[in-house]
Amino acid sequence: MTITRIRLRRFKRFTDWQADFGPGLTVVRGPNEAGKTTLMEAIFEGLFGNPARGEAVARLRSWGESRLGEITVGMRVGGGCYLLRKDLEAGTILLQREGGGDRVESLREVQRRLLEWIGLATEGAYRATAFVAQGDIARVGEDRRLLSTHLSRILSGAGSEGVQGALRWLAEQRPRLVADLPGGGGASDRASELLERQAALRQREERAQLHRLELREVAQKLEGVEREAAERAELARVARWVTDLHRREQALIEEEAATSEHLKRAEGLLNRLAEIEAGLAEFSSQQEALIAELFQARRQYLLAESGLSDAREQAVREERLLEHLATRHHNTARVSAMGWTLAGSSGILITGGALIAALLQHWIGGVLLASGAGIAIAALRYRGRTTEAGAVYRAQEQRVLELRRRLEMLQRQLAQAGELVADRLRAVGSTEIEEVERRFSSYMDLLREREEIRASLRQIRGSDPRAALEGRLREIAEELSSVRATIGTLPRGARRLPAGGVEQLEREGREAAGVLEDLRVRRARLEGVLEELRHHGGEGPRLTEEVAGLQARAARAAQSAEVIALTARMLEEARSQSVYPARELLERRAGQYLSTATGGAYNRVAIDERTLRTQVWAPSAGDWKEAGDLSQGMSDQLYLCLRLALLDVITEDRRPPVFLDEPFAHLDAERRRAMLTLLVAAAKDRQVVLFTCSPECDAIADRVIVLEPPQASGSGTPPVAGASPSGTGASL
Amino acid sequence: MSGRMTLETMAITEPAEIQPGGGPAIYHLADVRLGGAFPFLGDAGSAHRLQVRDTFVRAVDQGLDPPPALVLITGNLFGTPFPPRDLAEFACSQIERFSKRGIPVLIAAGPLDACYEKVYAQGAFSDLDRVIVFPETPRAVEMRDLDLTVVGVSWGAAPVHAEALAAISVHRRQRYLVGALHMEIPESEEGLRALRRQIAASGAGYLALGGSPVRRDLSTEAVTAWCPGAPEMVVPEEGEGSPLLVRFEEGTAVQPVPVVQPVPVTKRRFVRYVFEPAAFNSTEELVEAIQALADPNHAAIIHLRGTSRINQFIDVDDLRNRLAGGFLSLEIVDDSLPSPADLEAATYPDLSVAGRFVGVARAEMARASDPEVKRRVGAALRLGLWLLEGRRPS
Repeated sequence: MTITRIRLRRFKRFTDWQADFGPGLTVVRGPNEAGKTTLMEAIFEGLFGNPARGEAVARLRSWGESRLGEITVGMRVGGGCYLLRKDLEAGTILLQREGGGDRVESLREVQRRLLEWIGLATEGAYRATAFVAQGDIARVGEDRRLLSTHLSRILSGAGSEGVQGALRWLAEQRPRLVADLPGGGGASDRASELLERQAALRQREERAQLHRLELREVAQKLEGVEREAAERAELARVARWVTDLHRREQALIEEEAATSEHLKRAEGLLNRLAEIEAGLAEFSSQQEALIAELFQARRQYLLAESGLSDAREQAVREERLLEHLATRHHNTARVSAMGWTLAGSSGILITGGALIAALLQHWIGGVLLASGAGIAIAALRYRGRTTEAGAVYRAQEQRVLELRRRLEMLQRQLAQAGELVADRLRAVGSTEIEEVERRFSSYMDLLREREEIRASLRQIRGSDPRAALEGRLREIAEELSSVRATIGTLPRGARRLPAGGVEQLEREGREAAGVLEDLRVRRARLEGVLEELRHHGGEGPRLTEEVAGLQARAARAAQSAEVIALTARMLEEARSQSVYPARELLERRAGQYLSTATGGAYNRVAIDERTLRTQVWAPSAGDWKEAGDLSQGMSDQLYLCLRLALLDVITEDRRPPVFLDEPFAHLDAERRRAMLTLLVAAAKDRQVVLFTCSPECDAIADRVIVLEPPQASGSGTPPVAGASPSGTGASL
Repeated sequence: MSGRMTLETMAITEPAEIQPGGGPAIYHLADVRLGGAFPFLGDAGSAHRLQVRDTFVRAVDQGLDPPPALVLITGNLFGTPFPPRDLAEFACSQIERFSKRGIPVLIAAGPLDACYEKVYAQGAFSDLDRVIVFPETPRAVEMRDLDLTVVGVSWGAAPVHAEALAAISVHRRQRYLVGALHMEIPESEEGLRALRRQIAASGAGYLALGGSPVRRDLSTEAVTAWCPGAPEMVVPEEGEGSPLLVRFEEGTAVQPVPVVQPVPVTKRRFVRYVFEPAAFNSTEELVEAIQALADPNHAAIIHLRGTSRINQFIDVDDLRNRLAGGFLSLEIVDDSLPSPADLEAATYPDLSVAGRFVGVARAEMARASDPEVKRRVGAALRLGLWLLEGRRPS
């Protein structure tokens, strides 16, 4: 493929520029800032750039222009001429064969064709090999250790956007995919977790089935025990009833016997009562009144007799006291004269003492006064005692006299009572009161006995014990008959109590109730468990669905991981294969180019398969020299040779155009000449475009295009056409 | 087996429900799966269960208009042996709509809600009048008013085998003889032939079967036999199911032939689309083609089959994420392979990485005997070339 013409409109510094290109070596010359690098960029953009990539093309706008421009590239491929136009403003692309016919407007198809023409897989590979920028040479020159790395990048055939990037991207995908694989903590692990929950749920369901069976068994057992408990309860109730009936029968029999006994006893009492009533009838009410009066009179007589006796005893006592008091009174009266004597003595003493004291004022007067006073007091005491004793005596005397009068009156009353008693005795027709008392005592005994009998009868049965007892006996007989009839209706087995008695039945009933309660608790628990399970019944399908979703995700991740791993392995293998088989060819071509470049001084190049380390055979030393040990100029020569050789190898000698942007600026004159010689040699069968500011290249060029520096006052636009020998070609 | 058969008589108290001038009409449902799991729908499963309920309500509505003489449900009504309380109540409320109108409902349990220890769905219908669940051994329910006998059997601890069909004819006492059971429908032609022979030997006027998520006619010359299929989509299988209205025409024939009429109630369905990637110039074109088919009531699986270009990588995950919103559920499977011719004609320079990569892929493809390995190599080739061209999946 050969580029025949370039036209740029509104592309960075180029307002409207065009030039013809051709096979062989084309030198594009111009001073710094003339637009050489921009032109090289425009060529690549014109060939492979996507005009519709938005903001990315905005930087290509010409200075001062609001609209984006266009790039038109004319080219010859095989026997045909093509025109490739990219309108950056409209974002369109057109590849058209001159003369019409073949017309392509799809970017993908255009790129596919271009890559086919140049013989490379990607545009990145083309840029990495055929476009030698200023920096590439300079960098290699500055750091020779990068040579093999750089070479490796070139040999990969895809540059930084190629296989390395692809492998890096594949490696980056692995962690994301691994997360969803088992152990990664993603979908697969979550699915495992859910599967465990699902298994637990199934176990719960299985347990629930067992619970259901158990519940059924419990329900059946409960039903049986309930029936049995009800039977036992009924049996116990009947047993209690039968017991009560028997007990009642026995009680009635006993009551009947007791009542009969009571009736017999009551009848005896009633007979006795009749006899008593007959005995009592002998006493008339008049006799009763007379006897009562007699007893009243007798009581009064006895009272009078008792009062008289008491009064006599008192009289004796009072008489004795009077005698005593009389003796005392007598004695007192005998000493009463002494009192008068003492009183006269005291009067004398007091008078004498007073006189002495008043007249003589002698102490003897005082003594006499005191003695007189003392004697006077003693005299007064004697007189007092006599008076008192007299009074007591007199009082006692009066009492004795009164008592005697009372005795007389009592004696009279006693006599009257005695007469009354006698009178009453006579009235009742008796001579002795004891006889009357015996008769009355007998009467009273009858009365008492009658009351006792009546009380006994009342105790037996009310006011009419016989009738009551007879009535009760009839009732007992009826009830007994009824009880016996009821017992007679019972089944024969029920008439007899069980061996353990009602208590045993009741105990068994209580035990059955305990079992019932346990069973009911078990039933409630089982029903609770089942209810809880029913409540969570919707969880199963949800888990199944979630697990399925996660498993599908994990399966997809596993599949993607496998594809990615396989892709990486295949790419690695392809990378190694792409370098190693080409090695010999590459070494041979590079050696040829190096021989040309060095005038035959060096003609053998070796590339290490594993590390891509490059060596050059140094004939003078008779040994291989590491590329890193070469001088800067020599290593640049080697690099360019390798690049040209590489293009030959990987394009299978399709020889696409090569572009070099001031690659030899830093070389000395000799090496520059050698390198230009190499370019001339390379340009014999391919198109080489050299961008330089040095006019020395004009001599060796097949075509020279001159770029003028920007004008200070103008738009900075280079001239429309360079000083190309074929400069003004057909309009594009 | 017939020795264990029990007979039960049931009087139809509302003869008005019988279509005048015709034999009894039977409303036949199966495989409803009200509480089933739908793993193929993933997260959409829960919402779909609600849809299945809605569809069942619609099926009952349709079934009551006009009311049939009898309702038969042949298996998998619940789709789970442990229906949760709300589901059991819902099913009861719907079944009660038939029974309250005097329409008997006879149920033969299926494998997904099999009777356990003679109890169906934890006794969900035990309180409903006129609802009979067939036991695990064949049982005949005789309806004299309809001159009809239904012989049914439920799944229990053991599956229902085709031999149960032979027991049906033994119990012909009425004019119309109907069998009701859920069976595993064999996939193979040979199995199907054997099943049809057994169906023919059953002697039933109509055989109400369950066991297929889509409607299937298993009739023979002598016996009309149908699986109605699920009223709503329950499995990732193309085809449709619906309740069936089975009407015995009045006539003089000893064994009248019923007329079977589907009653469509389905809202959702499963669809399968196949695309050939090579036919599309870009992924966007493929996206547009799929989008044109989008339907929120469709659970779709899209197979990318046939040939793809050697550098045509399709990011299936990205495609699924972009398109899933338009479908009830969406699965995309890329089984396409670069054609051997394309692989041979690849124009990458032989010594370039891309050229060598194609060579490696060719060798791997030649070595692979397993189609899955071939598919994987094809996918790796497409991805590798795509990456070498500097492109990256979004």
